[in-house]
Amino acid sequence: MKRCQLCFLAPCYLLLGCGDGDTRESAAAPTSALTAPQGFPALIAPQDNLPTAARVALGRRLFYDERLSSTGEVACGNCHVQANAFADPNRVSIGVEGREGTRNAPGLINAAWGNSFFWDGRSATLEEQAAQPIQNPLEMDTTLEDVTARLRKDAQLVGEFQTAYAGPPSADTITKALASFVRSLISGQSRYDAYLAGDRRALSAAERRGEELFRGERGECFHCHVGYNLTSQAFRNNGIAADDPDAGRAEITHKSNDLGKFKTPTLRNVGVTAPYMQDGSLLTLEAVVDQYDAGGRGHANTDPLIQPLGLSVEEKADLVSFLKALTDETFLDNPDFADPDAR
Amino acid sequence: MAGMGGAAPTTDPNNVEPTDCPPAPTLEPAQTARLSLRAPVEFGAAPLDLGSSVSAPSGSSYKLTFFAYYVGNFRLLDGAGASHPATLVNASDQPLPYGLQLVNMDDTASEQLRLAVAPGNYRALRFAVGVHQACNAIAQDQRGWPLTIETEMNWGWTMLHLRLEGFVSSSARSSGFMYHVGFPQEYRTVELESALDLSQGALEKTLPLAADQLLGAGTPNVTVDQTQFLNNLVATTFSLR
Repeated sequence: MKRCQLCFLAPCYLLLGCGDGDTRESAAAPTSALTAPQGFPALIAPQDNLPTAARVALGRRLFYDERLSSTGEVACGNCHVQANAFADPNRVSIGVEGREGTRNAPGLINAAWGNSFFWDGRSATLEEQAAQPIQNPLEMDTTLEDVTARLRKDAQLVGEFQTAYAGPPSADTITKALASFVRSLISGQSRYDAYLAGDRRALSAAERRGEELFRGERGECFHCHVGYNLTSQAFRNNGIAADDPDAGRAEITHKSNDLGKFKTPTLRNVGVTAPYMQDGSLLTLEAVVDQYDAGGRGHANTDPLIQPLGLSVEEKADLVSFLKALTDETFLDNPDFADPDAR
Repeated sequence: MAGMGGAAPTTDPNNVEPTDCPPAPTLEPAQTARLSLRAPVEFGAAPLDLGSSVSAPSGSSYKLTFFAYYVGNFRLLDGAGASHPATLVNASDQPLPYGLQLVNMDDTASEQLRLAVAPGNYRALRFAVGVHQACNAIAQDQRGWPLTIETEMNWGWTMLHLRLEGFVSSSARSSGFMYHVGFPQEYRTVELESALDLSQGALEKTLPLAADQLLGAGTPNVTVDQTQFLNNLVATTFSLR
């Protein structure tokens, strides 16, 4: 156990992408259509939207369907790019007519285990989450009613809805299908997973040193990036910017203690989810480690855990090496996650 | 006088941890009375909110940013020295998983405790602060609330008993502090003397946690070391009124 008396030292926190979900989704139940990786808790989903193969396939089709936007030019997959672990390589999301969003779109990785969604945790379920980008004026800028009307003109798609949900497209089934696909985006086959499973050669010497830093007293990243998904899903202020106007979690809770807090993202696949942080302001993992090593940039509500680390150049390089070992290549090129209409 | 009826009084000494950690504990038939405890965090006997700065007589100011701790293994002590189990239950009288409640200052509802006990008159309340080791033995992927990663109290290889973080400022400097208490030997038992008449079946009390006492805020030192912190936790932090 960590010995932390009065620790004026500092962990290295890596609040990079997004995080998610509460296994306390009401009426949740075990599912059989999706399988949890080794070491993960059982995957659960709402009782009224168990992820069957038909629902996941329908959600996948919708995820890449640009008819979900007002101008027919933006799909979920525009910002959530598989090669980037379904994160956005742009600093902030680009919506219809080139409109810029306010935050970097987080990766969609193991969201099935999420307990809240978006950087500020404003949605409690994936189903609720799925509706928001469609209606956001800076993103897809339409209504669920208009999307429903457009999709009902597609006889083949109507048939797929019938198979999956025993009814035509509706606001309810559109968001349920999208949630089912996102719930299927499961990643648990990185080299680090192999290492944890007993393959001691799966990590290089530098990566093992980085792991020790990650879990040890020098880096203390584990305070927030902990467990099977390398996140506690908690909201913390990592001091990303002194003058950040984004209130973060406080926009939802209206608590001063939550000012500038954002959800701790999973670090799985973090090597491919640049740019980092909710504002997309850090372009590389090296910059992220430097940020934490410096103890943040002085936001007034910076967490007390964020303190200068005093890492050496070599230690920072080891830490970055370890973070890159968290990439699950099978996740990035899994054909089941790709655009079904891509050539 | 002790509780009446069959909740198997024992003479457990302090610091005896439960040897099991059942995900679905059961109530004993005799546990028909209910003791409700509200457990607010206070500073200088005044309510304290997360993120609010408060001043100590020493002149230092404190701001808590995170504070959570587990309670469990409740017992009521009778006048004859016997102890009687008190089971944590929810508002629907269902025993809490693992016999634990996570009190989190960020969640007011978590500060409300409810205990199922045998009716009777008691002289003291005893409880543990922390997670007993039998719970740590449960595989991570088999755990439910409140032993999950999302509690911010689970570091993979152990559960924390208590986590307190914040800032302290004096005229000289401002510093962050964190007390992360999780070693097995840091599991603590608290005993509070107070007449508890549960013969009529229900009783409401307040179990305030004095953060100023816990942090040693009444002393010239701005904070205390972890040994003193744990001593404070047992000796002066909790009261019953």
